[in-house]
Amino acid sequence: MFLIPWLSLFFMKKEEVKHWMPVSMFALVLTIIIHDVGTTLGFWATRESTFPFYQMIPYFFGTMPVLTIWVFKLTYGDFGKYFITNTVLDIGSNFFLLNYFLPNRGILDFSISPFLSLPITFVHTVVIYGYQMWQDDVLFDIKELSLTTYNLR
Amino acid sequence: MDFFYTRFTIAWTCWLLFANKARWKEMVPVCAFALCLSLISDQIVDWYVIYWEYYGNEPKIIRKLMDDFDVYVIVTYLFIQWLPQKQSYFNMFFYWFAWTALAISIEYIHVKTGHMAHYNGWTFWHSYISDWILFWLFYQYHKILQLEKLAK
Repeated sequence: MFLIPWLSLFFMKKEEVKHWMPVSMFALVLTIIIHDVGTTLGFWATRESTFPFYQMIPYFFGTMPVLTIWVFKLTYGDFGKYFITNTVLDIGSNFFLLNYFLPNRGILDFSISPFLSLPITFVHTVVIYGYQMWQDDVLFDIKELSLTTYNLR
Repeated sequence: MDFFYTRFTIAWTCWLLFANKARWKEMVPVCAFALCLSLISDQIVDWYVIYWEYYGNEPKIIRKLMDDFDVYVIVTYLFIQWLPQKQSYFNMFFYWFAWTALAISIEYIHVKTGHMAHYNGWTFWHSYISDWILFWLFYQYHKILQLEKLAK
């Protein structure tokens, strides 16, 4: 969950990895903060992690940022496609991974309903898309939207 | 006023006074990278060997969030902003020397005022060497990702 996802980036062009790396790091920062705040509020708790990480499972440092890069590469420029892809992934991670798979193996306590955690991931999804749009100068310059989208494709 | 609230205020005042706001689009990715390293190091340090710990009156989560969103971000922002135009070995060495001196001085104030403590063999020398490496990583991240293209 940590190392193998990063190796998948060998199948992507170096320039593309460079382009999407900042949004991936931004997504990671938000995820860690959400995780810390959720832990403090008692929404979830990590029971067993992997050395050297303490509260967070390696999924957050491998699968999540790399998946962000792949999803942006394949869907950026078409928000509908991006949002549907993320919705499918978020439903999988909230209802299966976080609510069933990890708790059943004693790795994570997930005290919050996945119906409540799902909107959190939706907000995360929209915020990181907005961040990338801002980085690409689209967010505050609607006139440039079509041009930037065209260039990215 | 509590130490960490004061630090937060001073750090953001420095940003307001000295930061080139026109370059913030270029700086935010490097700051996010610095934050990632900070948050990941927190994860590792909170493992069964604790190397350092912060102390204050604030709730732990507030102290942690303020810690992440003041000095780490502001120092990274200003460090990249003021990188020397002429990047000779001497200039770069002097620049690193100045910033690592500042970073270790900030840590020294924390330790001497009782707001931070080192444990399990961690010393100022470990921190100082880490500072040199961290600033090098920020520089490389900014350079390799060609983030200067984002400057207005």
